[in-house]
Amino acid sequence: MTVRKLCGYDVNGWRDGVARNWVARPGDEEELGVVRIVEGAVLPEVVLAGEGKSERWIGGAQADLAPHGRGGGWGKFGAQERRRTVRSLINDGSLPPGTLAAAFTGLAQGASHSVIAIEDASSTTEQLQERIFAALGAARAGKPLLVWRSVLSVLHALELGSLRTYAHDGARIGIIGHVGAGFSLQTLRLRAETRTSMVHLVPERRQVGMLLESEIGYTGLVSAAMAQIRSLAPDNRSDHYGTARSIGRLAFGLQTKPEPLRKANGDWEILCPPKELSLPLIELDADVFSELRDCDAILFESLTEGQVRLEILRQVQAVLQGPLTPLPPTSVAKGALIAAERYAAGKTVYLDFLPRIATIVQGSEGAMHYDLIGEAETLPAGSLYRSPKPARFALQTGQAMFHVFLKKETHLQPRKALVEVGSPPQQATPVDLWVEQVPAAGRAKILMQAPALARQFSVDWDAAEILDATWEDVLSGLATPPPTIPKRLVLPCGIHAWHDTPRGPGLLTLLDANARLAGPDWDTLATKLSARPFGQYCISSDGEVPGEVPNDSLAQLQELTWRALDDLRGMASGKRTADTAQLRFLTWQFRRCPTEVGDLLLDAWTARSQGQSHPFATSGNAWILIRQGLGRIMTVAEHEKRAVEILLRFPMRMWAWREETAAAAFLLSRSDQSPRLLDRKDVDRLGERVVEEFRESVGTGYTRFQYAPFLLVGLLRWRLKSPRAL
Amino acid sequence: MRRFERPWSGQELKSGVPYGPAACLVSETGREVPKGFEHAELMTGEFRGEARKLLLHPYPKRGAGQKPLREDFPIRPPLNREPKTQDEEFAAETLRRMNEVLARIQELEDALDDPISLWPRLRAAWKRAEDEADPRMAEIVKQSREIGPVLKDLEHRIRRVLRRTRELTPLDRVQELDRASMLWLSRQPGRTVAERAGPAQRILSTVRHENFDTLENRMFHAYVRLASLVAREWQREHRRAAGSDRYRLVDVFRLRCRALARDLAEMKVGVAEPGITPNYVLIQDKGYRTVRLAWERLIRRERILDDLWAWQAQTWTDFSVLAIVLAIDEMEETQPIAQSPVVWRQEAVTGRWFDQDRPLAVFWLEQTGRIVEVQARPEQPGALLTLARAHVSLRITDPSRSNLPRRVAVWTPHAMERLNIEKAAKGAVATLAEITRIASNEIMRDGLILTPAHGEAGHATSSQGTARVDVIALDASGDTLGKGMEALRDFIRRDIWRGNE
Repeated sequence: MTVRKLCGYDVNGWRDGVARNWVARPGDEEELGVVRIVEGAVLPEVVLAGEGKSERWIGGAQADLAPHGRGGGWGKFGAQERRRTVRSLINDGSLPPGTLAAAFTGLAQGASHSVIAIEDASSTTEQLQERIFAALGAARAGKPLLVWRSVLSVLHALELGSLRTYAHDGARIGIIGHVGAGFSLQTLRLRAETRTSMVHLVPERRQVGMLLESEIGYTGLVSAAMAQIRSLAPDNRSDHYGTARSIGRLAFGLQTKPEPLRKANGDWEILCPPKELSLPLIELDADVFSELRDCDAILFESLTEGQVRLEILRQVQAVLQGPLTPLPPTSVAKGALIAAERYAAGKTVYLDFLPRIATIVQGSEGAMHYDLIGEAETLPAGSLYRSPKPARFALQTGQAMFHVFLKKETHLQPRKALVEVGSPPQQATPVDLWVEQVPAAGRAKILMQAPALARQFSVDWDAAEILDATWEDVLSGLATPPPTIPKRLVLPCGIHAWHDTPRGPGLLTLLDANARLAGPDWDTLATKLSARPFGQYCISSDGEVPGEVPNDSLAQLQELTWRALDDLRGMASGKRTADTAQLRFLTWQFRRCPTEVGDLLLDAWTARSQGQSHPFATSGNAWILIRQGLGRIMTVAEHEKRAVEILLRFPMRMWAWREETAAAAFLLSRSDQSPRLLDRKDVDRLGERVVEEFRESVGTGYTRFQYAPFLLVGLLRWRLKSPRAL
Repeated sequence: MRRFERPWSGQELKSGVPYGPAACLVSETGREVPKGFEHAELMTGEFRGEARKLLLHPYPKRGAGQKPLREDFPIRPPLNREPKTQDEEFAAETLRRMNEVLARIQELEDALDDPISLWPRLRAAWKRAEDEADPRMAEIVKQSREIGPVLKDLEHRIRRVLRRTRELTPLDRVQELDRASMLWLSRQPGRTVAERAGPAQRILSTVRHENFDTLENRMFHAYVRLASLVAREWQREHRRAAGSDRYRLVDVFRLRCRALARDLAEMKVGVAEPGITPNYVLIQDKGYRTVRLAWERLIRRERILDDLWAWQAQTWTDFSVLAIVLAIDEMEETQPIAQSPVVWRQEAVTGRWFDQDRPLAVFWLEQTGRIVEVQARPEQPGALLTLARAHVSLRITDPSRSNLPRRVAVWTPHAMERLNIEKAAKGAVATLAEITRIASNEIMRDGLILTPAHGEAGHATSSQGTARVDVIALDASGDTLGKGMEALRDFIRRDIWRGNE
């Protein structure tokens, strides 16, 4: 196997270093397979060397020694803008990636795989990760992988054997990392990785490291050292003191040496720095490390050395229960090299979680939160995660753009992204939304795909509108009211039909006349009741009568009703010859009709569906009456249930438009209960029936097109049961 | 334009007298450089308000050149010819020395790999170069190691193509007829095919023959020919290393290349010209691609060789500066204060491999209490340096006092023939003694001349009044490098730091 050049970068802007497995020997071949630590500088910087076309940014130890940007005493190359701290490059994304790349190339060049340490805190944003990737690309650092400092510390500790008995599956390792603002706390769990042929331990990271702010962070140390050095300046013209290399050495506890500094006029001044840093005295609270209480082992990682390191260790140890394992300053770089070895060999470096991303989809319950990244998912470093179940949206015909709501765990405010479709689809099209992300490798890719359009869109989180509302507010704002439910159809009643007209007597007259007769003219009465002058019946479909109707007439109507019912009973039992007039008279009273009629009619219908005859069925048309009549008078839930059952049991292709369809239309459109009796399957079947009838009617005289529309509306009333049904 | 044989020389060459092989090709002009002169600017200074430019002219490519007039110079030995005459031997020796200088400079690039210990690493590399029996790394050595196995692999699976040609073929062997064959057949007299086939019973038909003359094989052929020549040249330059592993490795490689070249020539494979556009095989086939990249590296080296040959004096200056820096850095009390980043170039331009801003390097001699700056090709040389025509110098200051800084002029004369160092010391010290009389904001009493030793190390000193000049002749490898560096160290430790009073 060829040995590959591997490199572990610890470019942090405080004290850079690199661990790599090759050495270039001047005048000889490169030596591979030996671990070599190349130290960069303390408080590293990059400088702009050369002029004009040959201008180039240089980093590493060469930049530390360069006269560039060290003040006017050094001639034209001393100009301040020729020098930048690596710290500022990491934090500021406005410069081209080549500048930050110099910080990497100044340490090592030509690796095939590089691992770069990044601070385990929320300050390591996805943009920062992308910046580092861009810089590595410019530095030609081979295949890059970003790994958290905490993880690298653990990897190095595992290699060193400092975890001793805790190096087993399931152990919890706490890490206190010294960072600029203070300390970062992280707990990692060790996992035995069995996916590859050889079982090895990998740290698993489940949350972002917690930042504990403190004055003894690197920032505090450096400003203390700076103040200490500046206090040595004899007068106020002491700018050259600020460029002294002793500041960094003092802050990080390295041995200080006298150092000649060049003044702005080119003269020299010898700086004799103090031997030791006077640390800012602080007391850490006793419970600051409570996060790490149940860890099996606690590691301490710092770039400081000497007295400074001892003092910080003492302060941390004082408030920490349990033992602390300090790691050497080069441990992160060495850990990065171990990670690079694993990466190059295709082994799992560590397991990482992904910050969760969610969107909003419209479901049957309205707007719903939808996780694009599953909870509790950790995956091996460098591997791509893709949402297992994409969120699905529907794109309406002709829709040229649509909104997607997004929420990231790392951001407080949700965002609304506008996606342009480009060419509006010709028909409603499903669109899938999913997320692709690699842990610690920059921003997630939010992708949308419409297979029907053969198009793929990417959603730009950064360009999306930031919403000034919480996710919950957005969700509730999107809870659109459910679609309308067609109201129950009520055919109105009016007084016109009750009064006499030039064309004939009104119902009042008829009632009055017939009430006294032994054999009332049921036919005329029924015809009157079914008449609809000015669109108004005598009796509404709810069985109401106009208020103006005198009580006497109502009593007459009631009496006639009872008599008709008697007749009907007689007919049912076969004592009387059947006639449809009474039945028509009764059923045209709609719900005013006695419930017993319903029973009788249902019996008749049941008989029919069983293939038997029934006394009511005097003719073919009588069946129409039975069905429609039943539809008109239905009030009792029990009846409705029976009717629906019978209806649905009857094969739908044999339905007649005036019989079953009419009955179903009446039932569903005029009652509140019937729709609730249906389930999804029934609705689908009825829907098919409606479509069929519509299709049959197209191009005809629409004579048969009376009940299908009502059935359709009746079907919509299924929303009584399922509010967002079609 | 005032032409000089030596940079310090006060006497200019008479017009019409050409530069000879013993001369350093330097001249001085005012602000305007006359048109049409090949030159590189070393330094632009001023003396009493009058601009003075120090120019360097390249060695002529074909033995002689116009503008400025140059004659009787050795010609760079071509790769494919063994040196036979004395002149050719001399040219080959010059080339060897040039390659050694280049090797020392290129070691800086490797040493930069760990910039913190740049100088110790470079010093160690130079130290090893003093032993000529242990040859240093070179491109051809690297290729011997890396390409050797590839050649073995390619030899067995050399790509071939089947080329179609038309031939008269016996009737029973005909497999394929193309349009032209059919036309031919139709024009033959006779009614049947047998009649048309004539008494020999042969008709024209397509046949396929194996053929090796493809682009990738032509490139392969070109590589093995070039590699064997380069290997031969390397061996010639490293005769003293004949017992070493590397020498044997290169030898084996050369023989294999030669054998392969012969085989390829037998297979009627042509030779590719440099600058071919690689085809699919040359890009995708691992073996062919490796060979192509190696070939391109060798070609690039050959291509810039002319340029390097012409500008050897520039390379020599860079070498001298590195030698001085190494010698200063070696002192126990030395602390580096500043050093301009070395920016390596892809390819040498006018003999220079790397760029460096000014000041090159600044050291602090802690016990002596001096700060010394190494400067090369300064932007604003003072009046003294302008007069001395020295484009390398040391500037020494005492940080604790405000005395006038001291200047040590360093000349790095390069000529095709060896300089007479005693004569050089006398000439330089005379110039220096004159300059010391000029009032300036600097004091310049000491001078140093670093010149190629041509295999004969030497050290000469000459003084006149307060002025003193040391001449050190050194080479870039072998014993003369060791002795030269020793002399240089002695010079640095000498009393150049003190004695301002």
